[in-house]
Amino acid sequence: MDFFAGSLISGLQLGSIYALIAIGYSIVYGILRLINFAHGDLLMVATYGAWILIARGLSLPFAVIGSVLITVAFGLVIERAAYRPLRDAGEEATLITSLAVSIFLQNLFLMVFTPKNRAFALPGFFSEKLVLGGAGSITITNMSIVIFVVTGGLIAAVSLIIKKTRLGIAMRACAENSTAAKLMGVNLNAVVVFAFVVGSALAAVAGVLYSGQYVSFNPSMGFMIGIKAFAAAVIGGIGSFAGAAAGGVLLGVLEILFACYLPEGAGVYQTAFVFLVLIVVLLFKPNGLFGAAEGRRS
Amino acid sequence: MLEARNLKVSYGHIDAVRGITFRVEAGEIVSLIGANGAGKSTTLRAISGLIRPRAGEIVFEGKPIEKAPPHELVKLGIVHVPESRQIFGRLSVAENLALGGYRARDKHALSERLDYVFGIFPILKERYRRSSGVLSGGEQQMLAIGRALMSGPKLLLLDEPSLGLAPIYVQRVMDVISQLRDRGITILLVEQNVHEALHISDKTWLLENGRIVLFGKSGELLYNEQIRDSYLGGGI
Ligand SMILES: Nc1ncnc2c1ncn2[C@@H]1O[C@H](COP(=O)(O)OP(=O)(O)O)[C@@H](O)[C@H]1O
Ligand SMILES: [Mg+2]
Repeated sequence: MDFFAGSLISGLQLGSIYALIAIGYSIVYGILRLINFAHGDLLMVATYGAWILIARGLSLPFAVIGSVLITVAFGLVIERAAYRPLRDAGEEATLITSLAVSIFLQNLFLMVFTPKNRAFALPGFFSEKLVLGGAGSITITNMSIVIFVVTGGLIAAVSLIIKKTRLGIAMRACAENSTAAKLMGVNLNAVVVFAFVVGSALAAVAGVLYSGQYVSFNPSMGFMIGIKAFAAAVIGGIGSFAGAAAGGVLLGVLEILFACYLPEGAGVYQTAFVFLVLIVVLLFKPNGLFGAAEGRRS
Repeated sequence: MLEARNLKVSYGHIDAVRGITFRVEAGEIVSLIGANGAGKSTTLRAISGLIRPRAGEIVFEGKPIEKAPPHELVKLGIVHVPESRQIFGRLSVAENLALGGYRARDKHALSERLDYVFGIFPILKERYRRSSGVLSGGEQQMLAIGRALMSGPKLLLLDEPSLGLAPIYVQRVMDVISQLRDRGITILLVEQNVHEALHISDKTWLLENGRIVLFGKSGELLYNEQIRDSYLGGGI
C-alpha cells in the first residue's frame, strides 16, 4: 500500500510536468493544426538557460525567470522564422519543418555545450523529505511539493486566462474557426504569438522542474519527453486544454506504475507500454478522451 | 461609401470575379444577386480582406483597402457576416457576442450595443449563457448578425442571411436589415432569395459568371424581364 502511494506520488509528479508540456502542444495545434515537434526541445533550452544563469551567480528564482524569458524568446523566433512563412503551406510542410527545427536546436546545443551530461546543483532543501504517513514509509520531498504547487498553480492560471480573458476567448475562437475569428477583428498573428508565449513559458518551467528532479541533462533530453508529452496531448484530445492536462497526468502515473509493477524484466519497457496505452485509447476514442468531435470549418 | 473598380479575384486558376466595378452609397441597402457560383461570396471576401484581389481597387470612405487585413477592416467599420453563419458553436452566446466587440474598447458603447442587440433579438438574451452550438438555425443567424453589430459597423456585408431559414425567420431577418439601414448602417446584401432582396434593397447589382451584367433601382428591377425570367421564376 505504501509502495503504491509512493509510486502514485511519483507518477503524479511526472504527470504534472508532462501536463505543462502537453498544454503547449495542444494550444498551438488547436490554432494552427501544427504539431510542433520542436516544443520538447524548448525544455532543453530552458534547462541550459537556467544552468548558465545559475553558473553566472544568479539566485535560483531569478535564474528560472531568466530561463523562461530565454525560452519564450526562442519560441517566438521559431514561430516567426520557421512557421509563419509556411502558414498556408499545409500540415505536412509545417510538421516536417518542426522536425527540422528540433534537429537544428539539438545540434546547436550539442555544438555549444557538447553532449556531456550536466546536472543542477540544487540546494539541499529540495531533497529534504516530509513524512506523510504510513509510519514514516510514505514521504515526499520538498522538490515534489514545489513541482505540485508550481504545476498546479500554472495550470489553474492558464486555464483562467483561456476561459476569461479577451485573448483567451479569441484563442478558443481561432481554434474553432480562424476565418470567422478574423472577421471578428481578431489578429490571428497576435493570437499565435500569445499561444507560443504561453506554450514556451510552460515548457520552460517544465524543463527546469524536470531537470531539477531527474538529475542529469544533455542536448537530446527534449526528444523523448517531448514525444511523451505529445502522446499525452493526443490521449487527452489534442487541441483541448483540459485534455492535455488530464492526458499528461494520466500518462505520468501510468508510466511510473508500469515501471514499478510490471514483472521483473518488463519494467524497463515502461515507455513501450506507455505508447501501447496511446494506441488503445486511440482505437476506442480516435479524438482522445476530451477531444472535440467536430472538425474545423474554415 | 464603398467602391470597387475592376476587381478581379481568383482561386488558383479559377477566376471567380472577373473585373467588376460597383458602388455602395452610404445609408443604402444594396443587394448583390446572382446564381450559385456567380462570385458573390468571393466579392464579399475580397472586401472584408479574407482574400487578396488579383487586381483592381476597393475604396472605402476614400481610402484604398484592398491590401488591408480583416482585423484592420473591422476597425474601419466593415463587418462581414459570412455564408452559413459561422458562429463559434463551442463558445457561449455571451462569448460570441464578446468576440463581435473584440475591436471595440469602449465599455459604455459595448453595453449599449448589447442592449440594442437584445432589443432586436430577445432570444439572445434568454440564451446568453448557453452554448451557441445548441441554437436553432434561425437563432444562429440572429447571433451572427447580433455579433456583427457589437463592433458598431458602418458597413455590414451580409452573405445569404436568409439561407436555410424558416419563412417566419426570413421575415424577421429582413425586417431587422431594414431597421439597421434606418439606424444609419449601410448594407451590402448578398441573396439568392432575389424576391426578398429586390423588395428590401434600394439598388441592386446582378452578377453572372464573375461579371456585373445589370444594375438598377431595386424597385424597377422587379419588373425587368431578364430578372423576371431568370431569377423570379417568370412571375412574382
Ligand atoms: N475556396 C475556393 N476554392 C476554389 N474555388 C472556389 C472557392 N470558393 C469559391 N470558388 C469558386 O469561385 C466561384 C465563385 O464562388 P462564390 O463566390 O462562392 O459564388 P457565390 O457566392 O455567388 O455562389 C465558383 O466557381 C466557385 O466554385
Ligand atoms: Mg455564396
